[in-house]
Amino acid sequence: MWIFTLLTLALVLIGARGLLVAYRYYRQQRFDHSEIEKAAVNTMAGRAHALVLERLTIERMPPDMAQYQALQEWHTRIAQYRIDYATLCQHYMTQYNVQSLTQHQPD
Amino acid sequence: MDIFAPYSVWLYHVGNVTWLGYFLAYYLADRGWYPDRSFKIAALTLVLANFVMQGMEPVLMALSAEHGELIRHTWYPAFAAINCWSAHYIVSKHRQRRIPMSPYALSMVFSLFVLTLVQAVRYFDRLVLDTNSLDLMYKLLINTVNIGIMLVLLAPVLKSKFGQRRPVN
Repeated sequence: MWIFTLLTLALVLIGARGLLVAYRYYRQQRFDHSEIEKAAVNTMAGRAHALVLERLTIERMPPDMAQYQALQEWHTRIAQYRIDYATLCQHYMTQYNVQSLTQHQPD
Repeated sequence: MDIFAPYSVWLYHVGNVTWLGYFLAYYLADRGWYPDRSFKIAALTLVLANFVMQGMEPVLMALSAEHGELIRHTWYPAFAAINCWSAHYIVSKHRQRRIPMSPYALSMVFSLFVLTLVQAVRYFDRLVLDTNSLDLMYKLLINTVNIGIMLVLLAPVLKSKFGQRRPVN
């Protein structure tokens, strides 16, 4: 019955390999979550530019001044909300298994 | 080791109905209490693996009357194979569907690997080395792991429904 002994040993090795693959995949996904944070910050930067254009149109401020104020304001907000926004994105991504932020913006 | 006897009996009785806990976790998650695909794959795999193992046990018992020696050697590798296959199934489904692996699914894979290891160690103890010194470990560990898995599966479902929710911003 040495065949069963070998089979059992093989099963342990296959199981160990499965666990290793699962852990690597898990770590890879964890790493991908930092990409979400970057994407979230990029989205905020995109909004800052949109706001600059909006201010230029509505308030008719001198372009340089308006751009400077708006960007400064949004940089403060990005720093303030960066973590919470990233957490929110991560929540949506895992909740609805969204693969990419470019396809589905959470808000 | 008589002090473990009542615990072992309790484990045996609870261990027979742990599949109900797995099934409840999957059912509630599917009803929207915890809509995470990774969690659902892990829970459903465990339910199916449990059904297969509980159905296989009496069949192997019945066959052991005729093919005693063969079944003695098949018993532990068979359970080890089901546990091992379940772990691989969870991982392959995640990779195939490109689903992020939740910590719960990872802990399920880990538990299934531990169960595979327990079956293998027991096989060597009982049949290869013929020492039979790990009888108690075998009786206690498998059902303890099964009950642990059940609690791990039920916790996030119940927490997401009844737990405190942190306001966003």
